[in-house]
Amino acid sequence: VSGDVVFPVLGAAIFGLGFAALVGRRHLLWRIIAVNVMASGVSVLLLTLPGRGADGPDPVPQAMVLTGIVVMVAATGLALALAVRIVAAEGRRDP
Amino acid sequence: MAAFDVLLACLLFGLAARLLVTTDLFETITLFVSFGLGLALVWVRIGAIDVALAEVALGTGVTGALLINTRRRLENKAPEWLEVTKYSPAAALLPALVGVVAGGAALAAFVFRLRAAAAPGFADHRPAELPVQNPVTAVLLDFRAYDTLLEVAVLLAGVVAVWSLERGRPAVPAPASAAEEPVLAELVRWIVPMAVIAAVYLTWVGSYAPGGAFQAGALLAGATVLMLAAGFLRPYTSGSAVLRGAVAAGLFVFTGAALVTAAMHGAMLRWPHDSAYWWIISVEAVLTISIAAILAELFVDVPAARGRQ
Repeated sequence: VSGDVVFPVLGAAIFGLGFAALVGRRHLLWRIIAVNVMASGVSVLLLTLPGRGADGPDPVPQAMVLTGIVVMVAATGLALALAVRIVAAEGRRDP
Repeated sequence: MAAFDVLLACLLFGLAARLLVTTDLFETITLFVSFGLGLALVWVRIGAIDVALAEVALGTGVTGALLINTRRRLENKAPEWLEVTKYSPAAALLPALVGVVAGGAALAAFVFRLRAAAAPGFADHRPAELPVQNPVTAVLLDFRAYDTLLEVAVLLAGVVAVWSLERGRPAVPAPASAAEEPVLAELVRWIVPMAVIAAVYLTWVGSYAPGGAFQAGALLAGATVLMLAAGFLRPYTSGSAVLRGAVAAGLFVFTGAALVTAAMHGAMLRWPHDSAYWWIISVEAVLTISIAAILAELFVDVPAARGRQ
């Protein structure tokens, strides 16, 4: 198996794992983490699918993934703040 | 080196599978951070060093710290939320679901791979002369600067949303004196100056080597959170004009630059040819400060260390 195939398959598998946890788990924090894992899978696919260039992947998808990582951090921060708010508002555990 | 890639892929798959099914939140966070570091190795293997730096600093560092801070908040507010029992129906469904989704996605990946090979890349549209030598920075701040401008707007919107969620929260008590956690205080005294130097270096070096405003901003944010934890900074100051100014400065300066360039020659964010480098490095410098402030503000009520209570 060449290295050009390993990482795209890894990206797809990570995305699948994240998706399974997103729909399978009830706990809000694991869902937030699952979305992060899914985003990692997408990044791996985006950067490794076109194969390896001489000096790294194409700069445009690299910049897109970089943007994605930054936006994901902001989204995660907001989601975590919302989750804590939900816990405080409900005052009980999600069944 | 194909064997190393396979090993790395197996490691990452195992980490992802374990962190998503375990019922101990602290274990999940630890594994998530390990997963991010392993992912950074993938980026290094394919030569995407800028992405590797961002993954370590932001995707792993800041996100991991955010998760730990949230876990602590839950521990104080609603500890029963941390006692997760196993999630029985999903546990049975999980392997089947993973197989279907991952298999389908991998298949789609190979189909798209054929198309990706035909799609033109940056190299085909690349201007003859880049204003900065690092192609990723050139894409972020010249070729597709509009995307980056909107990304900063998304960050600002995120922190404003977090602020509005936290309205009415009781004021955090004054920080404890740093002497109560001497090891942490000493660590912060060593790390913060180094982080500041590294952040300045990363911003500057981003023009011709991997680095840039986002990685540097994450470093500064990490230093800020450490100072909060050690009690060197007052924790809650979202009402302060200085903090609000720092949070908004990136978007304002970037937008201002867009308007000025539009007035100069009718094209937004097309930098003047002879001074493009200085436009980019100036915008990056302001962005670094702004991103640091925004990321640090995502950490809602970091407690000042006051020893074991």
